[in-house]
Amino acid sequence: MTSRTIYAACASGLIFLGAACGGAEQATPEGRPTTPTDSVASPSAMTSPGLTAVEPWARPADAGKNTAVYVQLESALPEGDSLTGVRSEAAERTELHESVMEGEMMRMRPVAGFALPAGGRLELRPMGAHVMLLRLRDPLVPGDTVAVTFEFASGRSLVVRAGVRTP
Amino acid sequence: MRSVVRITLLWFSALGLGCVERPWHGIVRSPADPAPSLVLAGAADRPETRVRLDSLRGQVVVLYFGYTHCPDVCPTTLSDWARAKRALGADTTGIRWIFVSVDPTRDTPADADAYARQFDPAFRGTAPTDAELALLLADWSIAAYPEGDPRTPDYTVAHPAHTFVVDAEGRFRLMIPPGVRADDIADDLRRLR
Ligand SMILES: [Cu+2]
Repeated sequence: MTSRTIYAACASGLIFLGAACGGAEQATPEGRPTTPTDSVASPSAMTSPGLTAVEPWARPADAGKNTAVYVQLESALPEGDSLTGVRSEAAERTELHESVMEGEMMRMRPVAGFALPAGGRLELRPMGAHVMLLRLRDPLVPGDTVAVTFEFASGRSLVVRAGVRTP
Repeated sequence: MRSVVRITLLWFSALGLGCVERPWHGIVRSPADPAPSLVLAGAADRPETRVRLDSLRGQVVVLYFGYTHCPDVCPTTLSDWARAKRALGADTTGIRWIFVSVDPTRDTPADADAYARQFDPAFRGTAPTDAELALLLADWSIAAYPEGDPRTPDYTVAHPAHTFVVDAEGRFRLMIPPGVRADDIADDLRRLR
């Protein structure tokens, strides 16, 4: 399965992997079509073994502003994969980013994907790789949760509910 | 044997005289020249957003140049400040914490101030006018520029990585890089206060 397959699926608007309850849920490569208006309130996650989200969290931020989601993704899979997409209903846009220090400057760049090694770990953390939520629809305050769908090149996906907190 | 005792005593007295130094956690600027000027008018109806660095002589000033739409680096830095401030304990008078937006297109002085206060009520924020921004970037020999399409709401801003620290005599003393632990930031500020 390729990222093009995922792109096609997204473009068709047929597949939306919505949020599900409690921590991380695992999803099958096949997916299951739901309505595009799916949201946190109407869970429809799919599962497949081998992917775990450890300690997902998001920073508080005001509506209209941007924020970041962090998590450690752990693979128990025999083959490597890569995180190639992120989606969330919490924001107008959701992107994979990396903060980089260049000389004495801090910059942020969009990234097409991050590798998840076989049996290994991908760490999204402050001042590094992160999920960027752009233009939040509602304010995120400590105690809230925000659902983010992580999409992999293999076609797997993982729905993660990140608790909102200050570090 | 007696000479060993004498040398040991000498060594301890040298410590007492300050011949042995404790390293700083931030990057020490040498020479510690007077800080460049920083004069920002702020919002007319919000006097707390007005900044005149040279009027803060006698206080340690902790400065960061960022933007309020920054999702990762700026909030991480201000959270580190907040933890450093807590590590300093109840008495943090004598230290001023100022967040200066370098994104005047999106940030008003009031926006930047509200943003900074989210991290600690003692933190202050402001934003320059375009003209003030050009001047402060030149005066501090720093850069800040939008990346992506600045006509869309989603552009990002490249900005200085370090927290700048001006001592009570108005000298630009330290640059604290991202990633320095809050306890270590507190340690540096305690020494400057
Ligand atoms: Cu980002």
